[in-house]
Amino acid sequence: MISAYFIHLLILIGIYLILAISLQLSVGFTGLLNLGHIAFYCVGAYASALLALNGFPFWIYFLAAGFLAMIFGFLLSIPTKKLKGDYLALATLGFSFVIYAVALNWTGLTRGPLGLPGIPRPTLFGFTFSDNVSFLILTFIIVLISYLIIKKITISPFGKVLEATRDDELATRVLGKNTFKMKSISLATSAFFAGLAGSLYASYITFIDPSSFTLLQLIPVLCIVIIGGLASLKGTIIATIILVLLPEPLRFIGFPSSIVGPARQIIYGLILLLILVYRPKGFYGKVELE
Amino acid sequence: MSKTLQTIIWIVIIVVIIGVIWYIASRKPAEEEAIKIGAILPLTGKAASYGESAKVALDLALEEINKQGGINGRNIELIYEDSQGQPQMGVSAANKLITLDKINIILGPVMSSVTLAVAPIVEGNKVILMTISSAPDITYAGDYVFRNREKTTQQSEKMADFIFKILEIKEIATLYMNDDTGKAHHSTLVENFEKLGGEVLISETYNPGAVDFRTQLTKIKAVNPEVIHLASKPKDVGMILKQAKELAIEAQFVGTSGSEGEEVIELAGEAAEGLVYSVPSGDITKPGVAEFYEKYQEKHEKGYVEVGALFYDSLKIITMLMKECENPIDTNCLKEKLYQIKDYQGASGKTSFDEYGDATKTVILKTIKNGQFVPYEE
Amino acid sequence: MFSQLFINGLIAGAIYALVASGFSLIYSTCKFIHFAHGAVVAVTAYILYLFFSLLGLNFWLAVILTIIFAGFFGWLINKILYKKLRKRKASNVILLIASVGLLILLESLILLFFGADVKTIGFIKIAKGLEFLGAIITPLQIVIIISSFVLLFLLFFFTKKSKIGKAMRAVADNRDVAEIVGISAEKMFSWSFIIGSAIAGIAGILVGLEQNLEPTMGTNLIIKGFTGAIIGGIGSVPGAILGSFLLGFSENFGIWFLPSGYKDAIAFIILFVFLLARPQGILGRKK
Repeated sequence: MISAYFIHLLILIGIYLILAISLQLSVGFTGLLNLGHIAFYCVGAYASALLALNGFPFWIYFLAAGFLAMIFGFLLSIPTKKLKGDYLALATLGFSFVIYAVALNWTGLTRGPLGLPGIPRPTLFGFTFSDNVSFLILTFIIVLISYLIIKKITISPFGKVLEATRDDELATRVLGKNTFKMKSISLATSAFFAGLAGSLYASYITFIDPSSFTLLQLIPVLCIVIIGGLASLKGTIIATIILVLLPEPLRFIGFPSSIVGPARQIIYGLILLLILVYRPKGFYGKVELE
Repeated sequence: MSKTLQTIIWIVIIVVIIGVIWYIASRKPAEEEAIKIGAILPLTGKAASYGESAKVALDLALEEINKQGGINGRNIELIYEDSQGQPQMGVSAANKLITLDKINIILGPVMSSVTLAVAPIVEGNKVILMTISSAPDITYAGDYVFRNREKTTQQSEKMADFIFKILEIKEIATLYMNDDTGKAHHSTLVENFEKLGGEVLISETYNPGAVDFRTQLTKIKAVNPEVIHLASKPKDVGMILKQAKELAIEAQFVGTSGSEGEEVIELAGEAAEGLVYSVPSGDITKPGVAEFYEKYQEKHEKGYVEVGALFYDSLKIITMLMKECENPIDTNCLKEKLYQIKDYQGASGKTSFDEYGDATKTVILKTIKNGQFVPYEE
Repeated sequence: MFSQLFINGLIAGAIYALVASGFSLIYSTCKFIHFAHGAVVAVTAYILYLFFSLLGLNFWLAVILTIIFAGFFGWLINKILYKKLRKRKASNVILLIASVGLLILLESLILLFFGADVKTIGFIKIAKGLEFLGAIITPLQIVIIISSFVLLFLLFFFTKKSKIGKAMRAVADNRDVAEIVGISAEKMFSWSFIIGSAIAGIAGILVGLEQNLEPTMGTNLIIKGFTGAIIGGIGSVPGAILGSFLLGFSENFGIWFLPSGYKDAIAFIILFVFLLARPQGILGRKK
C-alpha cells in the first residue's frame, strides 16, 4: 500500500531535487555562491500561478515560469559579475530579500500576504493531474529531464569551462574564455530550473503566498548542496532524499511538539556544521567551497 | 572505503529511515475503541503561541468529552500535527493524518496560508476541516471546510458603529499589520466607517515581524486623530501602545480581537489601559463562557483565550454531532448537520454556520481596565 | 514631524550600529562574515532575561555577568567552530556558511529552551518620553544613542592606541606580515571575537530592554547590521557605524514618502545597490 503520505513526500523530494541540482550547477560547478536561489523559485511560482489562474495552458505557464526566472537570473548576473565569494553571497541574498519585499507589497499583482489560492493542477492533452499519483509521475518526469539536461551540461566542454572558472577564474580568462559570459549562462540556467520547480510547487500546493519564499526555505536547499558534496549530482540526490525524510520519523516518535519543530532546524544546522568541520567535501563532493 | 560501498551504505540508510517510519506508523496500538480526530496547529514557528493556546483548549475539551462518556461509550483521541505555520508542512501533516492515521475530521489550522493549502486535500478526501483562519478566500474553499470564526465585517461593523455613534468621532487614523488578517480587518473597518460618513485621515501599515512602529506612529501623530484603530496581534499591539505612550500620543486606541492577549498588558503596562476592542465572544453571563475562561486560564494563563474558546467549541460541536450520526465518522452526515447549526451556545458565545460554512458569532466590546480584559460598559 | 523622524532614525541607527560594530570588528580582523553574530546578540538578551527576570539577580549585576558571558560565548564559538575550520584551511565562504548553520542552530535552541512567546525584561517603567528639540525620546533611547557614540569613540581609540588594537589592525591589514613581526593571528582572532561579542552583549541588553525578546530577533538584527556595515564599509568599524546610522535614517525618512510596508524593502534595496555599485562601502578601501 503506497499511501498518499509517502507520495506527498516523494513529490516534495522531487521539487527539492530540481531546486538542489540547479543550485548545484551554480554553486558546485561554477563556484557562484548564489544565496538568492529562492528568489528564482518565487518568481517561477508566481508567474506560473498567475498565468494558470488566467487560463493559460500548462505548456505556456510552466515554461514561462522557467523563462521568466531565467531572465531574472541573467539580469542578476550582470551587475554581480565582478563580485567574489562572500560579496556575491550577500548580493544574491539581498536580491532574494528584494524579491520577497516585492511579492509582499505589490499587492496589485500578487495580492501580497493574501496569496494566490485555487491554482489549478496541470492539464495536459485533456488529462488533469489532480490526483497525487499522477502528479508524482509528472514531477518525476520533469525531474528526470532536468537532471539529464544539467548532467549533460556538466559533462560537456561548457561544463568543464565552468569548473575551470570555479577553480581559477583568472587562469581561465587568460586562456581566452569569456568567464563573465559563462557565469551568466550558468546562473541563468540554474534560475530556469528553479523557476520550473516553483511552477511545480505552485501547481501542487495550489496556493502560494510570500511566506513560502523566505530565507527559511533556502536553508534546506543550501544544506543539501553542501552536504551532498559540491559538484556532485549523485551526492545532491542522496542528500535531498535524506534531508527531506530525516525529520519525518520525529512525528511518530512522540516527542512533545515543542521539540519536534525546532528539532528540524536543529538537525539541519548540526549536520551542516558537522559536515563542514569534519567532511567539508560532503558525501560525494569533488571540491571544497572556495 | 570504495565509492560503491559508500553508495550501498547510503541506500541502506535511506531504506532504514523509510522502514522506521513505516514500522512506527503501523505499530500504533490498535485502539479499536477510540475515535481519532486530527489537529493541525502551528506548534512551533512564528505562530507558536496560537498553536499552544489552541492545544490547551482542545485538551481541555477532550478531557471533558471523554469524562462524559465520549461518543456513545467510545473515547476520542486527538492526534496533533505541527504545521510550523507553513503551507507545505501543513500539507504534509494533512496527508499523514488522512492516510496513515485514517482520520476523517481535522481541527485547525490557524494560519490562513496553511488552511488554503490544506483545503483541496480535505475536499478531495471528504474530510471535514474546521479552521479559525480569517482569510476571506476560505469562504469558498470547499464544502467540507468550515470556519469557526466570524467574518471580519462583524467586528468592523460593531467597531465602526462604536466610534461613530457612541464616541461620536468622525475622523480616525488606522494602523494595521500587513498580513491577511490585518488587511481584512482594516479594509472592512474603513468600508464600514466611511459608510457611516466617517473619514480615515491616514492609514499606516507594517510588515509582520516589525518591532519599531515609531515612524508610523509619528506620521499618525502628525494628523492628530482622536481615535486610532489597530488591526494587529497582541504582541504588536503591546509594542504599539508602549511606543505611542513614549511618543506622547494622546488618542483613544481601539482594536480588533487581536488586541486580546496577555502580551498587551505585559508589553504596554499602563499604556494599555482604556483600549477598547471588539471580540467575538461569549457574554460572560451566559452559561459556559465564564466557566471556560476560568478553566482555561487555570491551565494557560498567558494563552489567547479567544482562540482557545473557538477550538474548544469546535471540538464540542463536532463531537455533539457525531453522537447524532449513525456512523460517528460519516463525514457526509456530519457535514449536513454542521450546516444546520444555529445559535449553538458555547465558550465563544453563540455560533451559527452559514451556507458557506462560515460562522456568525456575537461580537461584543471589551476594554482593558486595571490590567484585566473586561466587558466594556458604555 | 521632521525632528521626530530624525530622532527615530537616530535610535534605529544606534541599534543597528551596536550590532554592526561588533560584527565589523570581527570581519575586519578575521576576514569572514560571521552571521551568527545576530544569534550572539539574541542569546545574550535571553541570558540577561535568565539572570534578571528568572533568577532574580540584581539588575546591574546581571548586566555585568551578561556582558562577560557574551565575550566568553564569542570566544567559545571561535574556539570550537571557526578555529577548527581554519585549521583545515577553510575559505571564508565556508566560514560564512558555517556561521549560517550556527545561526540556525542557536535560534532553534533558544526556541527550544525559552519558547516562542515574547519575553520582557521588566526593568524600565513605561512612561512618556522627554521632550527634546520638538521630538520625544525616552531615557532608554538616549542611553542607546549615547552608547553607540561612546562605543564609536572607544573602538576608535582602542584600535588606534592600544597594543591589542594595533595588533588587530595589523592582522587585518596583512596577516602574513603581522605574523612575521611576531603577532599571533589566531590570538588576535580570539580577541576580536571576545570584544566583538561583548559589544554584541551590550547590544543584546539594550535591544532586549527596548524591543523585547523573541527567538528570531537575531536574524532580523544581523540583516540590518550587515546592511549598515556594507553601506559604511564592512572592513571599517567606524564605517559600519556610519552606515548603520545612514540606514536608520533612510528607513525612517523613506517611509515618510513611501507606503510603510516598504520599510524593509528600502533596506534591502540599498544593500543590493551598494553591493553592486560600491561593495567596499562609503569608508572602505577597495580590496
